[in-house]
Amino acid sequence: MGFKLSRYHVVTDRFRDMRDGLDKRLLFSTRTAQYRVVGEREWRAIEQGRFDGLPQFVVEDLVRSEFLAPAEENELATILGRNRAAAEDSRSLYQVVQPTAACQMGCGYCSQIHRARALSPEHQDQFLQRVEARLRVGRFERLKIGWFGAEPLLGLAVMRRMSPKLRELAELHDCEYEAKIVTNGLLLDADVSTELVESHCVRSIEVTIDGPAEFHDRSRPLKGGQATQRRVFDNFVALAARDDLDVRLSLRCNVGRANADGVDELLRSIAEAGVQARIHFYAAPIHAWGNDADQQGLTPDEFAAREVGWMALAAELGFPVAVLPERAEILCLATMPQGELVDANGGLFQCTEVSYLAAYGPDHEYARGRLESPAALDGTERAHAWSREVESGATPCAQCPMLPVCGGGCPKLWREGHEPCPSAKRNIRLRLLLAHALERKRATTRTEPATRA
Amino acid sequence: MQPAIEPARAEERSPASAHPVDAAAGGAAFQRAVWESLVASTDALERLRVLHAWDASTRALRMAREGRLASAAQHFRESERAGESASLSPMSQALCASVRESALAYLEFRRGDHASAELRLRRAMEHDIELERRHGMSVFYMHRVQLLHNFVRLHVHEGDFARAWSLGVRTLGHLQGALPAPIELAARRDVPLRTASTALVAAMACQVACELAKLLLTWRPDGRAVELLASALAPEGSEAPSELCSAWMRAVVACLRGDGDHVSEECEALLQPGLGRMAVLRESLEVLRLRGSDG
Repeated sequence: MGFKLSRYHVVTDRFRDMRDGLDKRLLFSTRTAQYRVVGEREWRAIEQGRFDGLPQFVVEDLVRSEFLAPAEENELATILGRNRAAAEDSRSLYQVVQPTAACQMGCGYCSQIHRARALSPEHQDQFLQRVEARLRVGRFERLKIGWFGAEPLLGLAVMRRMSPKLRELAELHDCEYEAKIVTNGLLLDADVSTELVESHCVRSIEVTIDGPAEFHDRSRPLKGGQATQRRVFDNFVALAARDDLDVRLSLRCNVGRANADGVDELLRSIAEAGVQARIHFYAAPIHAWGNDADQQGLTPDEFAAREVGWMALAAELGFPVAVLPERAEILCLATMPQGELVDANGGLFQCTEVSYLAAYGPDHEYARGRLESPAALDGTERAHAWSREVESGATPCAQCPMLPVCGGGCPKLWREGHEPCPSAKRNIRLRLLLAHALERKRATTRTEPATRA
Repeated sequence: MQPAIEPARAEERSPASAHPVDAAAGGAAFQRAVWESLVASTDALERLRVLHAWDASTRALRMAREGRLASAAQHFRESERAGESASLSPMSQALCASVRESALAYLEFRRGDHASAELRLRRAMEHDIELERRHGMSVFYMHRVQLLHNFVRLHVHEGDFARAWSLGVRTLGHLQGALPAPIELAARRDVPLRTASTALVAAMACQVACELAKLLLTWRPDGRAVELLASALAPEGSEAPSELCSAWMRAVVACLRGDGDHVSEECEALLQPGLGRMAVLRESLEVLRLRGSDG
């Protein structure tokens, strides 16, 4: 038996390389997230399985990069097997804490029910005990805490009480400790930023800005309707301008029909502030979140087409941009055997998209009980349920060449009848061309001084 | 001329860099020799299959080293499926099996299952003997020496220090040309070490010496063990593949016999900082000297 072109590949249309006048394609292996530039004639040979017409070193490279797979290989089983193994192997214990159920904002697409309730000291202690039990049982090397909302900075008092105890637990079990926070940015002033990084070991801060004020303030006002963009933007830019804090900064822009035209301006305004090199920008389509918010969104095709433009602009302006998707072995909290979220009511979940939502009750399939009567610590069976579902053909993922890099998308949305396929499924060919163009530009920049010399 | 695949130009891919048996054996010379044998006796498709199986084993070994044991097991299964294909010649099957079994031994070792690790090493050795004797791949003699080195590590982790020392010293003495092949090597008298390059033999000797040096950091050999090391020294005037190892062995023997000052002075020049991964040789001498002065 010989080799076959892996089903997990994407190839661009033919394009003319203006440097040498040759027709080429870009070939992307989603099994390894690597791409190659292939001549049209080589591509024809690869496509038709005529590998003996290619130089041996080329074929060897294609085998090693998994563009080619043994003819008899069940590739789906291989991919899912690797995903399951990666989940079992994970040495990071990731736990998400929603310290409060409160949020100042009244975002149009959010259906969380906010109220002034913080995670009680009793619940905090119960959760800490649960974390310790996990650290004791599992062989973890890192404890990672995600502070989520509602708005987590309204629960700063909870963070102040829990952080030292979490760090202590990590130390006790010989683990590294780090945290991330996803915040609306309203309270993210200089003192709070310093406190997050220095006292709470926050290594990643994500803020959402939905465009310039005229767009953002329509979708993300305060509950009373007041504007928020200026304050969030200023806080975030001021943080990005600081060189004394070692923290990764992400800027998310939730994009729907109403603000799609504002993304370019948002990018330019960050660049004008001169902090773009520090900020990892990404656009996310507004999606159904226990509601019909997806109705406010662009169609998936529209979003995908425009997203590549934003990526190109971001790259041109000097933002670090991840154009090509990476291999996704571990998808989300739902596929982590020990992953868990606690909300401010003491509810436990194996998903970040369920708590505080009226549409999902305590019996939701991703609910894991309450701290007073929690589910078993080990969620391996539940974590593997998704890969079994994919394997069974319950979703079209088994047939999709993007599966290795998207992991199948959000399991919850599939089960609710939505198609959560990432934009990359629709724009991967354009992304490949963009990635290749950027790589060439970088290579040219790298070689220019030498050429001049 | 049509473009080839750009990120992988021919000139960037020598056989040595392209075919990583380093997981199981180490050394570019070994890899080149194995690949050349394969090129001489198999067609391109078969070589691709072997390459595919090796790659999977190499990935698996890397993951095992990183402590990702479930992933390592997954990639070993992939390697096994690729390497046991009925379409492969017996030689290619043995090649894949040798690489896989020796790498799997490491996975078992990381799992703490020393009995299975030992079994895997023995199986790898059987495949090596087959490759050497039935298929004329004499380079696999050195792979078996590598497996002996792995046995030494295994004995250390089992706490059987005397056994580890004995096997390590006899292996080192064999590599340095002072002792016959250890019986554990199941070597034939007519397949001498000279089939391997001096560079490869020297590299292997250093690896074994480092293992013995690590052992010396925590364990003190008795008189018989010291004499065994003395007997493993290349005879005076003969040229051992690794002069560094010879110097280290002389210094260790001297230290353990209690006349450390004299010989270790002689060797100091050889054991200056800058040995990189072999810094443990120097450390072991420092420990022996300290112990000597304590005593």
